[in-house]
Parts: sequence; structure tokens; C-alpha cells
Amino acid sequence: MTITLKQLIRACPFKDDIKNGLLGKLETLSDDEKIRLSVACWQSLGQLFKNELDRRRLNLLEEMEKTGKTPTGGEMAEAEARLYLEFAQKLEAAKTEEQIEEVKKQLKEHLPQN
Amino acid sequence: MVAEQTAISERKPIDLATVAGTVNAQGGGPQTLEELRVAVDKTIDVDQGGGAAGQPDEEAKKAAALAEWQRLSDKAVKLGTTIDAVKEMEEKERLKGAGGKEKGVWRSELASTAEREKLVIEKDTQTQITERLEEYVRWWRQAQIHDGLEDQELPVKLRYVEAMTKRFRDRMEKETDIFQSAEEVVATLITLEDELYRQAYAWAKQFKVNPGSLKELLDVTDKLTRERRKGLLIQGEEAVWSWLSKTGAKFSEIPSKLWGREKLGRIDLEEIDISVLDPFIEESGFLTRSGQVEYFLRLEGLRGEIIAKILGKANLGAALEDKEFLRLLELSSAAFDDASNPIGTAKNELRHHNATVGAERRLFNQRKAAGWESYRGAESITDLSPIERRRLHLDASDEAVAESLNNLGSQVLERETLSGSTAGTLTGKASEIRTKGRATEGQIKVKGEEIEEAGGEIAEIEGRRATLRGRLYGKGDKIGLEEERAKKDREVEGKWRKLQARNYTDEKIEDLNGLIDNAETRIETLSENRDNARIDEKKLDQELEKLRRRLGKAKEEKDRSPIEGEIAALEIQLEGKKETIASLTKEIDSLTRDSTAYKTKITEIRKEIGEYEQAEGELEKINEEIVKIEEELKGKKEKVKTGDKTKTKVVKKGLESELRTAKSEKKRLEGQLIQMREGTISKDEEQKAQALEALAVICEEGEISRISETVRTGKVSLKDLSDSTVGRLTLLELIYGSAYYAEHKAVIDEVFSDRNILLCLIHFYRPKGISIEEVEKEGADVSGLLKRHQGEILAHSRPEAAEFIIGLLEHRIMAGIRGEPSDYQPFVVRREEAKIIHRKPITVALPGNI
Repeated sequence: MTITLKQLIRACPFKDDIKNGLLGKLETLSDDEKIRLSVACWQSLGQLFKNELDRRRLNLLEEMEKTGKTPTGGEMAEAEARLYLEFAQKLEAAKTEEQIEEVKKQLKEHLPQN
Repeated sequence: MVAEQTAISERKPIDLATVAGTVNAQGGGPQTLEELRVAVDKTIDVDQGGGAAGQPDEEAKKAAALAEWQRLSDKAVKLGTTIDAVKEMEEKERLKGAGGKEKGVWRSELASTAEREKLVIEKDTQTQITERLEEYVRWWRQAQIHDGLEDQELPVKLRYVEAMTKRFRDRMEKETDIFQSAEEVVATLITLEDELYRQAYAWAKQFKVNPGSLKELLDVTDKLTRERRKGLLIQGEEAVWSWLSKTGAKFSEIPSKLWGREKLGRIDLEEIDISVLDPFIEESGFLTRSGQVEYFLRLEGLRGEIIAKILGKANLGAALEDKEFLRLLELSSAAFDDASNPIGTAKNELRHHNATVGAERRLFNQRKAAGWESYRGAESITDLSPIERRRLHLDASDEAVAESLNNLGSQVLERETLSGSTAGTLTGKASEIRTKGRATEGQIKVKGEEIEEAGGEIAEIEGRRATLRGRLYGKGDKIGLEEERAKKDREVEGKWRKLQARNYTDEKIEDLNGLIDNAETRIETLSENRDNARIDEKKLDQELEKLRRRLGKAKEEKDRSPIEGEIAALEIQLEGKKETIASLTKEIDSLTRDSTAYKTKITEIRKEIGEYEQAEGELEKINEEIVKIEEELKGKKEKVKTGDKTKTKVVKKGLESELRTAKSEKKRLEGQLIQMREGTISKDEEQKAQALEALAVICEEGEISRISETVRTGKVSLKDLSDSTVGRLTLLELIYGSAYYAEHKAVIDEVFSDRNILLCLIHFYRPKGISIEEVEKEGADVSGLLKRHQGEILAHSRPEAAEFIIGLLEHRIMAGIRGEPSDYQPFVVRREEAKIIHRKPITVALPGNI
């Protein structure tokens, strides 16, 4: 099941008026504009995903430094899995495994290279 | 001339393979037609030695062969390959039954963009383009010669560009249109640049030189990229962070070449070999990440430069004034923005990066103004701690994403609003036309009725006229009354005049009929429009219905999905909690064991103290007895002086014997007391030192396998820990039980409020044989010490650093005991070693009476 442009727009950090405007005029947009918006939304989500993952990694490191806890090695993998789920929820696509996998696949494809 | 013709006509049919061999032997690659002719001629001469006379059919064959060679040669030149390769390709295509060149998505899109833009290139511009391309190809070839490359190494696409340029020239000479479209121009440029730079970097790698050595190729863009290069420094820093977070390595492990003089991760690409960055981003394909960005920057600059040259501008500044330049640049830039193009991706990322840098500054100023704690005292972003700086960067990146999205959203909406207003205008116009149409329809109807009425009257008059005429002529013929006829004619004429007075002339009727036709056509068109509109309305109703259904479905999904997601998230949390509980239970078990052991030991110590007190009491009694005996002895000595000598001697002997016994008892008790004192603190100071030494060595050298070995060889009391864990408490007790701590407790506690710091210091200094006094001297530089070991990341916080190091110690020992590798680099326990440890019971030295 593919993620619709409407879901993407809802999930992306548009300002409210722009978001509502886009959602209201979605059907009248040209195919070119839809594709452009879709690519931009996925790229943005990819970047936001990476940022959030980095942020959580930092938090973990900091917590480890402060508490002297030793990592078991699975913390980051767990944080990443949880983040995929959160993004799927944000995209209203966490209903089935298939949807979550789709979100995961798309995010991986749109992660920034660096 | 005749002789020459004869010589040609006398030649044999051409052996194509021989010609190909000759051509290839001359240096490979495609030849010009003239060269091919020479080659063919040479082949024929060699084969025939100027021999027998030719036949007319042979001439035809030769012409056909030459034509075929011309075709193959053109194709080879076009594709930048050899004739043999073309033949092979054609054979394959023939077998496959398919052919055609695959074009990238961006290229076809570019074509459509160019078509939309209706870019017109004037003839003189075409001439300029061709000349500039030729110049460019010459320039490129010179650079190629400069780099010592063979002709065969010419990239295929470049040869294609060269051939294309040649084609432009040919067309121009024939005064035909040079370029089919703007797309052709831009595609040529892109191909040229793209391949040029790809090749430039390939050469750089091949010859193991810094790409900067290809100055002839690259210098043109240096000025343009210098400013942006500053951005690359941060890009390099990003790469370092990325590498650190990926590998979990410490800053101290970053190759020294990557380090700047002051701040972490500052990379000056001018100073270092770019290939140093390779390990960080191997996945980026043919270039490193930074290299890819640099590649893009140079490419972008060069594209502008080339277009400027093509348009005959002296420099980019002059070109920027030219609309044509901007349009060409925009077109080629659009191609590079395409997501299917790696350069487009790099460009987008760079754009995002630049936006992030801007947002970083903005956020920094905002937070500083708001008095954020971690921003106090920071004059610039670089003054923030590395972690805080990274956080700022991430927040700025989020902002940049939102900004970029909102810009795009606004653009789309703006366009939509514009087209919406156009639609509104059109709708208004349509409505106006409809109203007018309806009014016209009404007018037409009225006019029609009038016309109909008039028509009826006319018909009636005509009828009456005909009747009258008939009657007139009939009567005239009959009675010959011309007079009556004239009278009737006058009547008719009068009637006509009357009609004319009402303006119902034939001409007028014709006009009205025309109006009726027009109106009918208009009505028809409007009806058609109305029908279409009704169909559209129906379609829209259907779509609306569909959307409503989708909305309903989406709402259902929306209602459901968060709950399920929440459940999933809670399940994950639950799993996490379970793991935490398990880990805590384990720790509690360990602490309970430790606690029991301590209680037992306390009981033992109390018992020993009791025994010691008892022994002390006994010793006191013995002392008192000795004093008494001595007093008695003194009194008896005095008596002896005055009394019986024999009796006195016996008494003296007895008393002396008692004194010896008492002294011996005293000595025994004193020995016992010393033994008890020693036992209360530690069995043996040396044992404790050895135990410490053993652990310190293990910790320092990271060789867990040496735990058992060192401890076995040490003469210390052992404790089997193979089925237990070494807790932090144990380690601290190990330290606190040491003679060093006992001797220097007051000083140490004063200097180092955190006991963990002490542990770290002992951990670092003991293996080096430095005394605790020296540790105290250097104690003020604890952060320096930690920095040396852990890198800057921890240096700003001593307690955290100490905790971290203790964590490392524990982790390593525990990992060794469990037979697992450590997660920390470089404290990795090799699995083989860990297995060995796991098989053998592990023993660790502990002071006997903690």
C-alpha cells in the first residue's frame, strides 16, 4: 500500500495555512506539482528522521556519560526501530506491518547521504 | 588524372577486414572520411600492387563499400568507438531486433522544458556556440595531452561531443539549422561537463594525484567555489561526526590528518589529500562525499563559464546581464536538479546545508538572548560544547527542512491561486456570455416572432398580389381594360410602399434571417456547453462522492491507527521495562550477595575484635600479675638478705621460673595481638597491592585473559568469581582497602571530592609506577589527564568523565567474565580469548578481610 500525498502533507512540518491550502487544492494540482511535492516531502521526512535519530543517539551518549551505564549494544537499534514506528504513525501508516515496512523503505531511500 | 582513374579502376574488391586492420594499426579510434579513403586506397595498392584492370561492377562494389565505410565511420565517430565495435553492435541489435538509445528521465524532461520555453537561438548565436564548442574541445584535448593520456583513453561521451560539434560545423557550412532545439545545446553542454569532470576525477585517482593538479581543467571555477568551500569545512566536520556515531569510536582515534589545529573535525580540503575522507563515505560511489560536493560546485561554476563563453561574454559577471545566459543556465540547472541525477541530489543537500548554517546562526542568537544555560559565555557557535553544537545543528536542520517545505508549498499555492483566479475570470466571462446569450435568445425570439408575423403578412400580401395580378391579367385579356390593370398596379404599388414604410424589405428580412441563423448557432453552442458542463458536474459529483468515501475511510483509519500504534509503542516500552527490571534484579542479586558477604565479614571482624579485647584484658591481668610477682620478688629478696640463704635460693628459683613463664605468656599474647591487628585491616598489604596491580594492568592493557594468569601467579587469597560479577562497589572497596588510601585518606578526600576520580587516577598512574604523592601533585590537571585518554568530548566534565572510565573498567571485566566482547573501542575482547576465559574458572585477587 502506497503512502498518499495527502498523508505526506499532513505529516510534514508545513505551516497550518499552507498545509490546509495544499490539502484543499490537492485534487486540482498538476501531476508535475504533485510529484514535486511528494519528492520534497519524502526528502524532508528523510532529513527529519536522520536528525531525530542523531538527536537520540546524542541523548544516549550523554546519558551514558552521566550515569556510567554501559551500553548493551541494542539501544540504538531499538531507538531506530521505535523511530520508524513513530514516523509511520505520523504518516498514519502504522496500521499494518506492510505499511510500516513501506514507510521504512521510503525513509531509507530518502535519507541524506552524509 | 586519367592514369589515376585507371589505377583506381584496376583495383580488386576491397577486403574490409584488411582495411579495418590497417586503420586500427594506425592508432585506433575512428578516422575521418578522408583518412579512410587513403586507408582504403593503400589497402588496394598493397593487395594489387597496382595490378589488373577493374570491371564496372567492381567500381559499383567499391562505391558501395566506401559508402558503407562512410556510414560505419560516421556512426563510430558519433558513438566514439571503433568501426569493428559498431559492426558488432549492429549485429547484436539486429539479432535482438531492438535498438535505440536510452535517455535519462531528466533529459526528456529537459526537452519538454525547452519546448515549452520555445527557446529560440539566433543564427549568429549558433555560430558562436559551434565555435566555442570547438574551442572547448581543443582546450580539452590539450589538457588531455598535458596529462599524458592516450587517444584510446578518450571517454566515449567526449568523443560523442566532439563528433556532435563537428556535425554542427558541417551543418553550418551547409547553411542549415545547426541545432534542432535548445535541448540539444544544453544536453551537449551537460554531457561535456559531466564527462569532463567525471574523467578528471578518474584521472586524479588513477594517477594518485590531488585533483587540484589538473589545474588546466579546474582553475576556471576556483574563484566561484572559494566562498562555498568554507561550507565544505563544515561538511568535513559533519563527515567526522557521522563516522564517529557510526563506529562509536573516540575522537582520539580520528586520523590525525583530519584534525584541525584547534577545533575538532575542522578539515581544510586545500591542505589534505581528499582521499583521506574515503573511509567515511565509501558508499557515495565514485567520489567521496566531500569530493562529490566539490565536484558539483566545480561543475556548476564551469557550466556558467561555458555558457558565458558560448555567448561570447568576457566573464560570468558580464554574462549575468544577459537574459539568454540566464535561461540557458536555468535550463541546464533544471537538469541537474533532477532527483535521478546524483549531482541534483548533491545540490539539494548543499542547499539544505546552507539553509541549516543560516538557521544555526539565527537559533544561536535567539537562544543566547533567551539566556539558555549551555549558551552562557559563548561568543559564537564554536564556543559551544561539541554535543550542544551538534544539537543546535540538528535543530537548525529541522528548521531548514520546514522552511524549504513551506517555500515550496507557498509557491505551489501561489500558482494555484493564480490559475484559480484565471479560472474565476473565465467563469465570470462564461456567465456573462450566458446572460448575454439568454438576453440575445429572448431578443431573437421576439424578433423571430416579429419576423414570423411580418413573413405571414408578406405571404398574405404576395398572395393577394398574385391574385390581383391574375385577376388583372385575366380581366385585361378578357376585357382589355388596361385602365383597370393600371389601377390595380397602383393599388399593389401602394401596398408595397406601405410595406416599405414598415421597413419589411427583402433586404431587412435577409438580415434578420442571418441573425436568426447566428442566434441558432450560438444557442446550439451554448446548449452544447451546458451539456458538457452538466457532464462535468456529474463527474465532479462522482469524484466528490469518491472523496467523501475516502475521507470516511481515512477517518476510520485515523481513529484506529494511533491506538494500535500506541499499543505497539507501549509494547516496546513494556519490553524495555522488562529488560530494565531483569537487569535491576540481577544487580540486586549481586548486591545482596555482596551484602551477605559483608555481613558475614562484619560478624567475623566483630568476633575477632571481641577476641582481641579479651586477649588485651588477659594481657593486662598478666601484666598486673607480673607487677605483683616482681613486687613479691623484691620483698622476698630483701627477706633473703636477712633470712635463710638456702630457703631464699629455693624461693628465688621458683619466682624466676614464674617470671619467665609470665614473660613468655606476655610475648605470646603480644604476638597474638599483632596478628589480630593485621588481620582486621588486611591479611597482607603486599597482597592488596598485588591485587590492585593485577587489575590495573588488566585494565590498562585490555587483556582480560591475564586476569587468571596474573592472579594465579600472585601469592594472594583468591575468590572464585566465575559465576559472579564484579560490581563497582567491589572495585571501590578494593581501592579503599588499599594502604595508599589508608595512608593518604585525608589529603585525597580533600583534593578529590569524588572518590571515582581517585579510582581513575590510581588506574592510570599505578601501572606507571607513580606514587600517590605524584598523583596528588598532578591532581589539579585531572581534566588534562582525562582528555589525553578520552578526547575532548569528556574533558569538560570531570565527574562524568570519571563515571565513564569506571563504566569502561566494569564493562571490560564483566564482559571478560561473561565471555562477551566489549562494546567499547578499543577495549574489544577478542572472542577467542573470551572463550578461553569462560572455560576456565576465573579468579580475581581480593584482600582477604574487606
